[in-house]
Amino acid sequence: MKELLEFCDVSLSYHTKKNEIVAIKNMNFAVNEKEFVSIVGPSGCGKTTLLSIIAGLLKPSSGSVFLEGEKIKNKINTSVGYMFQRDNLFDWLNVFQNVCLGLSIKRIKNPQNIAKAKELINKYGLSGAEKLYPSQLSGGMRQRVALIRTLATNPDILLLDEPFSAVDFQTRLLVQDDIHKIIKSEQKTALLVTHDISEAVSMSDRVIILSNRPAFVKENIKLDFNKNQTPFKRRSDSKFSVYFNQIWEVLKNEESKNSPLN
Amino acid sequence: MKKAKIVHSIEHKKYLKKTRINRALISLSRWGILILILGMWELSARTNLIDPYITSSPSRVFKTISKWFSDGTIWLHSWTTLYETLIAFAISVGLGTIIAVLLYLCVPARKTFEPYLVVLNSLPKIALGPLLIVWVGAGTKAIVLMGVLISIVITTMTMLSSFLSIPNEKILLLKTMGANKLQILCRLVLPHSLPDFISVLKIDVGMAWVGTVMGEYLVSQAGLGYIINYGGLVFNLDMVMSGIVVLCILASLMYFAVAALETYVHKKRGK
Repeated sequence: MKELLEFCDVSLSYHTKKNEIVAIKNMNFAVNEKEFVSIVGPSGCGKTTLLSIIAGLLKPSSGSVFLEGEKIKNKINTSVGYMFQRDNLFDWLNVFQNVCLGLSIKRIKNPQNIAKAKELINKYGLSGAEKLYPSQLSGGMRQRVALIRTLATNPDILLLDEPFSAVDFQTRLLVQDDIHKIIKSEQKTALLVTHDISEAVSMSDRVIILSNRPAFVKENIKLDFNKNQTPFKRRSDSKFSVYFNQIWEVLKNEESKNSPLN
Repeated sequence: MKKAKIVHSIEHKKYLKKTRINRALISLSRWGILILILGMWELSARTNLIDPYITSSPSRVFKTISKWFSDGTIWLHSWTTLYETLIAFAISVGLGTIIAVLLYLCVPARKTFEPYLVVLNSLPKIALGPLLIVWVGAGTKAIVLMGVLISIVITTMTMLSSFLSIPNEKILLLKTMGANKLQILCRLVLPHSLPDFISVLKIDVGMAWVGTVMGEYLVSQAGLGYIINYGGLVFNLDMVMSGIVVLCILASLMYFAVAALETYVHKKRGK
């Protein structure tokens, strides 16, 4: 398999008035094409920082990141699609206009791309909803629109920053299945940041566990599930709890270093 | 997600009837209070319970306003004030918003001017009246300027805080799509702040009227503020009351126009 994304000895420090915080230290990992990788780690270990570096919103203090063999320079990297905790749909635009937002910003709203956006809308059950406004949609539908907006610009890699944390639990289970299905059928590479171990195990092909701050890759766990299992089905697979416990053991150690009780 | 046509149950029909009755009661009370106040005012003035020379009365106000209509002074005075108010309104909304946009875009400028805005906001603008008269002359200019001064600071401050309340994630989203500052402004900041902009319009309707009427108290030969002030000086309270009534009507009309705009915007956004 081809490597799509690679972190080489990446370090990053934050500067505040009082001091300098080393958020990431000597981070090394790679993501293959069409792979779904989750990153879990103790709270505040700099998971989101990683995604910001890939998107070009933050510049690493040292080391380099390669996307498709090319080094990410100190500017916004528009070949990624970023999904945030909230769907961030624009209230004043209807579903179709929201989906086309990235195309308009990048000034590539040509007939070909519009046709592709329409195709995605129809394929993923939003036909008939194009003219609706976000306030008229359910939480799950909104998240789906947000994903299609991200896919419409045809990004090389999807960066998912806890995109399921703002919806209630029942919706989350549905949306996880939904989004997993869409990402797999569009054959996209995805990097998911989450604090929810069960989410990481149910959705990804591989889980990367980060250490306490300053973050580095603590462990890299390949998940071996049946390819056709949905995230929800995986939850009742016997391997699910094995992986869950394996990840929790590592995380528990890291979290306890963070605890004020020690 | 289409809903089938629902046949209402008896309970639901009862509920609908109850809400209809409640609404009718409220609207009845609204009109009732107006009629009650006017009636008591008129009655106590006629029976000399209160002195109509000081308090005027609805019938005297009506007579005064009809007289203004027949001799045409109503047009002169209300147009003068309306004209000044509309200009002050337009300038303060336009300029105030532009200043807010500039301060939003330029962070050092925003930080620099912040204390000045706070001081200007808390300063009673009427205190600048004498200065205005000396600087731009005792005329329409001074009145309009007074209207602008009163509403522009609040416009800038409200719009700026609206711009600053935009969730950072939305800005980051556009940035990851490669948007430049202008695109972020036009695609996100301005449309996001439209509801707040309409609230500002509503505030500014009131502010602009306050400013122009105050300006007319200071310097003027015509206008509703002039009539009210003059009526007070010559102890003609019918004139004062009538001026207030006309002012009320004009200000409400302008407010309702803005409210209609608000409804239109909400409808367009699917709410």
